[in-house]
Formats: sequence, structure tokens, C-alpha cells
Amino acid sequence: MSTHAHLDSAVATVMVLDDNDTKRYIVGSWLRRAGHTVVEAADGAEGLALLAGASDADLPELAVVDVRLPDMSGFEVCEQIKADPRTASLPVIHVSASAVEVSDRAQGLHRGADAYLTEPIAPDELLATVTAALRYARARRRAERLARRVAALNSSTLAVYGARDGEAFTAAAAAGAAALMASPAVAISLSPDNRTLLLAAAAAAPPGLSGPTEPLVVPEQPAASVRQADLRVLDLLCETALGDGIGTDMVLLSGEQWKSLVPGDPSGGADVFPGRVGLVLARTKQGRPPVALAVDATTLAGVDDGELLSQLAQACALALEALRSQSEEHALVLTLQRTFLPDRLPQVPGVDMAVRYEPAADHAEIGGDFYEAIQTPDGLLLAIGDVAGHSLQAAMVMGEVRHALRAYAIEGHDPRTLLDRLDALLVRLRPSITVTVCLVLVETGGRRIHVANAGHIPPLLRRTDGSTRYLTEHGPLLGLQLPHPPATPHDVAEGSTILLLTDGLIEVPGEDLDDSMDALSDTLRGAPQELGELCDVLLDTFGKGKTDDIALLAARLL
Amino acid sequence: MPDRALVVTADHSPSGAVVLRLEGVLDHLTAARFRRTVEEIPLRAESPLVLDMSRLSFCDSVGLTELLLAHRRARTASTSVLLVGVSRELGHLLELTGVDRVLTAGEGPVGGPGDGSRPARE
Repeated sequence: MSTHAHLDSAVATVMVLDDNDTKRYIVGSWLRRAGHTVVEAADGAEGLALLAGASDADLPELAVVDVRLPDMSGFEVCEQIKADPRTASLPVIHVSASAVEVSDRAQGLHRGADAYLTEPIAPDELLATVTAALRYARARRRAERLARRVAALNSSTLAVYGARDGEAFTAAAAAGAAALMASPAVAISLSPDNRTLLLAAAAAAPPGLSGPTEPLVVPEQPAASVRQADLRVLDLLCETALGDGIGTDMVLLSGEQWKSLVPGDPSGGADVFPGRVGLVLARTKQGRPPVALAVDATTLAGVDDGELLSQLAQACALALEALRSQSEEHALVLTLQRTFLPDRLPQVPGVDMAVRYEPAADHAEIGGDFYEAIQTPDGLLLAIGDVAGHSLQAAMVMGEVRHALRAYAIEGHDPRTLLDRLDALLVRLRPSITVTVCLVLVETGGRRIHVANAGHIPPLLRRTDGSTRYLTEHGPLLGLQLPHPPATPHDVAEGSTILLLTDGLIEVPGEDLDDSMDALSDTLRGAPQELGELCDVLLDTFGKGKTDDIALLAARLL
Repeated sequence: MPDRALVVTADHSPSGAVVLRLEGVLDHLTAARFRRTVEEIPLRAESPLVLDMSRLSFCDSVGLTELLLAHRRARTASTSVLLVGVSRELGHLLELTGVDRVLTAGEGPVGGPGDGSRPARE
């Protein structure tokens, strides 16, 4: 704090506003002797014009204003100074002749002045009052600036936590650092899947935060461009600071050091700093890769600067951990799903089969779609199903239902009994879960099928003449223990194709499912005979942009 | 209202039935909100719980499950759930999944915001 006290008491540019030439000269000379720079004005209009026309560098920091001026009162001048956002915090010290009432002094202070001195004024008293006023005004401006920067820190932190993937995160981190420090900034981090090193560079935010009197408005984040970089860059940076430790660490690098550690690419990349570079590294967990933020070293001169940037780096590291956890959970659920589902379809003479399974891309949307093809004493049992719900629980229930189906199926139960058994199991073990299942038993010989459908999208049959038909007989979904009707038999000719699917393939929110089913049926009519190609055509036509799991099982009777 | 939200308003019709109006989306994201609202409704025997679905734009399988759970709760209280204002899309979903065998849909005592209506907006 002694640094601040020292800076706050430093000399300043002071405006002396008085129509009396002699008084102006005397006050001016006292101030000059004390080291201040003095600019003079002889009346209200001139004084206000002087302030309005001054550049940021030359703007006076304080005004000594005589109360009695020819064109307006000193009080009015003070009010106008305080009303202009640019000079709102500029201290005004009134001076006046001794023959004034206390009420006048009070009025001056009420109307915005910071001090009021009456003649005769001792030079020491004036200088001390000037210094005190400057100290207060500077401390206040510093506090306001810090408040703005903390608001910027909050806004940058939110942006970083709101990033949905590695690229967006790195861009938000660079943009946040650039806005916070009013400097070009570079952010470097490992993607959530740990496979790519991402580097983002952002240009300095326009001077909003650094202006002396800008209102408390947080500027919009500057745009940042992201590219991939060499995986070793982060390791090399860690050697300069932080090492293997956790927490944050800061180091200053020369321009050459920075350029050697973080090579640029043809588009410029990380070479955005005019001189020395301030680098902050933050790591929240032992063994995890850190996040690096780099800014122009000159912006780290103040006491608060390093602290603010370190806090941002810490927030970035935490946000990245959250992203990484999500990514890891997503990968885990995907692995579970794949474990639960058969990776190979049984080879069955007389039946050709193909399957497509696309889990939802978005972590939150992974569901409980499943399929099965299993030989039973009565023939080949095809199954497709959908557990209501998403994420880990749905995937777990899916595994349980599928295993139970296999267990009951190899015991030789007919399709309707299988549904009854699954229903009872579900109600007992998973009381508030519903599952739709469609079973198609293909009798050995491949000329007769039995369909038992519990609330699922009906199977689609394509006959040898190319016509298509949904086999719509069905019962209620599982989970309610309602009675299921017996399976419906259908005679099928050689060359027929049966399609089992989940609603993830065709459902469009807002669109009637019936319409989507009609569209599918139309497309199947003209689709290839070969099952692999057929599945691909259906996925290309309907599967793009869908957010839910998609499962598709096709069988052709040879 | 963001397009993936659900708003549930409760009215008490003069006939004694409780009418819950659903507006928005009933899916895995809003299911918990719907369930909480239903759990707060005191159910009286013989006095049906009417669910006005006319302003519901989308319902998924989790939403269906919630409707079924509401039905189960009503049954325990010796009453039932009646769906009114069922859209064509929702009707197809109910038929496809066989839920139409459990939940009755039709014209019912859709009470307007008359005397004693108490919006239970969440």
C-alpha cells in the first residue's frame, strides 16, 4: 500500500480558474513551486472549454475554482464539471473572498465541490488541500477501476464456464484475459479429451477499462481465433513456472523466450506481443495439464493486475476440469453402451442382417436404445427397444433389459411371454421406468414371422414387389404390467426385408411421428437391396442432425 | 419463456375437478417440475385430475412416464386422470405406446379461471 500512497501524493496537472490575474498568478506559482503543472483559465466558459478540449494525457486532475466569475458562478462551473462523465471525479477546490456566509461555503460543498478555502489562504493550506483531494480522487478512481475489472473477471469466468467444448473454452479464456488486462492475450490448454493442444489468441480489447472515467460498463469480449499446436508447448511452458505443482504461478518472459517456446504459424498465431510477456499457469489437480494465459507484461505493473489474471487462470483451470469430467462421463457411457450391445450379429443361414447404432452425440442426450439378434429354439429372435430417459441411468437399464431378454429368450418362451416376463422384471426392479420393445421372431425357414410389439415404433416390412407396410398390431409399453396381446403372425416371402428402428432416427420435435414414419416408408421403397447400403441410405436421409440415440436393425429373408 | 420450459397452472373448476394446464414442453428436462406440481395437488376420490394438454407443444417418452405416474397416484386416491386437448401428435404417441389403454383422453370439465382458481405457477 505504500506504493499507492506514494503515487497518490504525486504531483498533477491542476487547472486554476480565476478572473483576477494576480490571484491566478499567485496560486499558480505556489502550485508550480510544489511541482504541479498548472493550466489557467480566466472565466467559466474558458475553464470548461479547456477541460473539454484536453487530451486524456493532458486532462487536469484537479481544479481550483474561484467562486465569483464574470460569466457564471464558480458553483455552476463545479456542477458542470461534475456532470460531465469524463470529469465527474475531478476534485474541485473553491476559493473565495473572506466576506462570505457559512451558508455560501455549505452551498459550494453541496453543489459538488470537494473543499472550500476562504481568503486569506496560506500556501501550505492550499497545497495540503490539493494533495488531500488528489489522494482521495486517485484512490477512488483506483477502487472504481478495480470494481470494473472484478466485473470483467466475473464476466470472463462465466464465459469460460459456459464453453461447451475445448475450442470454445480456449477462445473464451483468451478473450477473457484480453478484456481483463486490456492487452493482447494468448490462452493455451489441452482439449477435454486430452488429444489436442489448443491455442487461442485475442487482440486487446478497445480502451474501455483503461480510460480514467469510463462508466462501470463491462466491454464485450473480443473475438479470439483458435488453432492446434504442438503437444509439447505446455510442458515447455511449465518448465518456466509452476512445474508439476498445483495452484497458480507467474513469470515474465522476454519476447524472444516467448517466441521460442510458442512458435507461431503462418497466420501469426501466438506472436501478438510487442515486448515482454507475462505468463500465468494454473493447475487445479496433481497430474493434470495446466492452463496457460499470456498477456503483455506491461499490463502487469500494478498490484491488482497479477492477482486478477491469476484468478482468471484459476477459474479457467476449474472450468476445464468440469468440461473434462463431462467429456469423460460421456466416453464412459458410450463405452458402457457398446459393452452392452452385441458387436457381432449371429450368422444365421437364410437370414441376412445389418445393424447401425449411433449413440447421441451430446452427453446429456445419450439414451437407452438397444437391439438384439439371438438364436432361440423357435427361430431367430430380433429385438429393438428404447428405455425412456437419458444418460447413465437409461444406459444401465438398457443393459439390464437386454441381458434379461437374452436369458428368457434362450429358455424358449414365445414373444408375448417374453414381454410379460420383462414387464414383471421391470416393475419389480425399476418401478418408475418405461421401456418400449419390439420383438420379431423369424421362424426357422424364414417364411413366417411373429411380431410382439410393446409400445415401440412398428416394424416396417418391404415385400418382394417393393411395397412397404408397417406391421402395426401392438400392445402397451413395458413398465405398467398391462396385459400384452399374443404375437401377430405374418407370412413373408423370400426376399422380404424387415426393418426395426428407434424413434431417434425419424422423430422431429414438432412434427407428427406419423408423417415421419410415412417418409421412412417411402424411402425404404426405393432403397437398395443390399442391407449395408440400405442402412446407410436411411441414416443419410434421416439421421443427420438428430440428437437422440439411433438404432436400426435390418433383416432380409433369403 | 425459453422454448424448452414447462409452465403448469392449476385451476379448480366449479365441478370440483382440478385442472392442470400444461404449456410448453414435457420431456426429460421438465419432467421433474411436472411431477412436483402433481404431487402438490390434493386429490379427492371421484374428483378427476384433468390435464389440459392443448398448449403442450411436445411430449417425449419420459413425459409419458410422468403422465402414467400421475395416473398411478390418482388411482391410489380412488380417482383418475383425464387428458383433454390432446393434439394429433400426442394422440399418435399415446396410441403407438399403448398408453391410450391406461389414460383416458376426451372432452372433460375444463374449468375456466372462475371462482376459486388458484394459479400454481412454478
